[in-house]
Amino acid sequence: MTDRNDDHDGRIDALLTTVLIAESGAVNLDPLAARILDDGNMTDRAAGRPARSARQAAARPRRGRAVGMLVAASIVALAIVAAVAIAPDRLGRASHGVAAPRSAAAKELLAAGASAGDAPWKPLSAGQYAYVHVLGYAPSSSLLFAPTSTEPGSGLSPTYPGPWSVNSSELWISPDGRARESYVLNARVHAKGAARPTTLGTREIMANTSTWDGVSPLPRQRFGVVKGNRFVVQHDAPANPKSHPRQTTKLLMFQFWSASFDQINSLPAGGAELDRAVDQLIRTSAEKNPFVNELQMLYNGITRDQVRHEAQVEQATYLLGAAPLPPAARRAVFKWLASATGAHLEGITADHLGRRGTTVSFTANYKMDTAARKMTDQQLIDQLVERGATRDEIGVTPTGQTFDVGPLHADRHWSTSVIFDTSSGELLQSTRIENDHYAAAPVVQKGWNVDHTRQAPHFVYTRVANGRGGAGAGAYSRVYVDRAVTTDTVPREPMCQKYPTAC
Amino acid sequence: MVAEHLAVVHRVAGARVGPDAADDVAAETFSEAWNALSAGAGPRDSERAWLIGIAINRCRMHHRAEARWQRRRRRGGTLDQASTALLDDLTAIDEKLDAARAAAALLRALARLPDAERATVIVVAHGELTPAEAAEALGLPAATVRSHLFRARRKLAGAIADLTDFEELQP
Repeated sequence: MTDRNDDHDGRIDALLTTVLIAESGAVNLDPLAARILDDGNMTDRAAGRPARSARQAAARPRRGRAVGMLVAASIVALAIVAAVAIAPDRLGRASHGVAAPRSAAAKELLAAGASAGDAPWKPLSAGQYAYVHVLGYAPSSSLLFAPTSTEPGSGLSPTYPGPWSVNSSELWISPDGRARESYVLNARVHAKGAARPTTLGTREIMANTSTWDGVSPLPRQRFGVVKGNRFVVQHDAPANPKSHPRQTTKLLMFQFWSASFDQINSLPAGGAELDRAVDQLIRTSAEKNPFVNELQMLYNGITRDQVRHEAQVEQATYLLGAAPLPPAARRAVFKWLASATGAHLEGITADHLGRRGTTVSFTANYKMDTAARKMTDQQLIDQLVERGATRDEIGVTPTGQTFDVGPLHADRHWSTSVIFDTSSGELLQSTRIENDHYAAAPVVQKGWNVDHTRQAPHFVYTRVANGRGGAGAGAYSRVYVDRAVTTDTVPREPMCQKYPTAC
Repeated sequence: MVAEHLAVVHRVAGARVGPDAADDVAAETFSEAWNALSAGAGPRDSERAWLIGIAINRCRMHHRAEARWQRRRRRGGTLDQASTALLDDLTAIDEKLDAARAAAALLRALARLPDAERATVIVVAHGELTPAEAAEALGLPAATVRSHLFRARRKLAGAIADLTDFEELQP
């Protein structure tokens, strides 16, 4: 009886949602997503003051309460910031231009750079496209995962055991700025006979297309032009909204391309000039990484120098992985990585596709350690300012209140690792993982509370805690499947070949 | 967060206040969510339920748009779009007739539901929340949500009871 009732309720719900979807029609949410993301740029967002239109601001009630909450949040955060102890040599200062003893990692990176520098290359001509196929691996934002990392201070990389959800993206860009991107997000498809879509793993995405019984949402494509580091959409062709009404529209940010053709074409041919230009390119493009300006990182007790260092290392990996750099510039990027702080040779490992390559990780491990005490809100704000935040970013007026600030004992681990083929200088994969351990919380237990989750483009960070302690972790992995020069923009993604009208 | 949940937030808002005001509700929802996250608050359990809860509250601030949309629905003014989209996928004429009648009956019945029941059935059916998540999103006791849901489904089912077969409409 209950089964029949459930079944009946399910049919009513399904019918209602079908009719409501039909009523609203096919909606392209990309422009709205872009507007929302633009409105809430990361700096303002982290300061608790998302940029809002006048209309939105007018619609927002209870501002006083929001400010109060922000003060409270700042208090907690500042408590964390207050007594952070980070050894100066762990700060992310890349020692470029300084003759330092070459580590094993640096030797491997320089060897890969030498191979990359010897590769044949011709500038793209009219009608040609720089093509790159990337698989992105991310944990689900709702996933509570145990950061089963190494012990604090061991110097080894933190790890994330999975599972991952996989996105696939193919990108074509011509020197005149025309671009096409075809992407398959989260790769949720209907298995044969299944009522609900499931998330596929790598093997299914790459090969096992015969078991799919219809694409649930997702192959999409868009055409546009590249302006600066952004992909500007002119026209977005929807997948079939009638046959797949549960279409999920997603927006990929283009900022991780990290260099425009103009910037690439203006690089010097070689020598120290090229090294300086590449260093400059990495530094300036890293400033576009949302984490650089994220005040939340400061709240968590991480210095802006450290955040910049992490962003620059990642930016260098994006350049190697996706940008159509000439060989000399690729060599210069490898050289930059070889001189960056914290490189460690992990040996030979396999990427998500099983391709083996030399692995180098860049890590930082440090303690955040504060004692319980009483502080005024003015003191807490002053400390945030000392850490690099502007008063405008903080946006809180001190009222002279005194707060009890609890103790914090935490270890933070950050790692960006690259897997590359030394003999060809090709980057196979890059992975960023970070996690924090609070006191007495080695492994996250089921049933703990998620007390903070945030998601930047291509990165998911989840924090969980119980009464005794907590842990947080974030991860993203990028697998570079293929790079080529093409004269057409036909997708090679197996899912797109199976469903050509959808891609 | 935006990429993952915008579609469902927009969908639920659209079902409440109509597609025009849904854009504003969605933008305000994420704005408020970012404020809350920055202030250390956030989802207790399900991020989607949390966002839908914010969206439903935001819809209440667009009550004029909502009233307009429900009036239009009751008069059958939203049917054209629904019928066109539904009928294109069906070929047999009797199926088309059933689909059109079912869509009209359902939308009118939905517009006639009391506000709390309409909100509940929309977040469960359209927002794909479990009753427990819906209770969290709507800030209501779970038992109340279950009773709203039971009554809403019974009324909707009653509205299409004379249609022999609405299976074809299912996704």
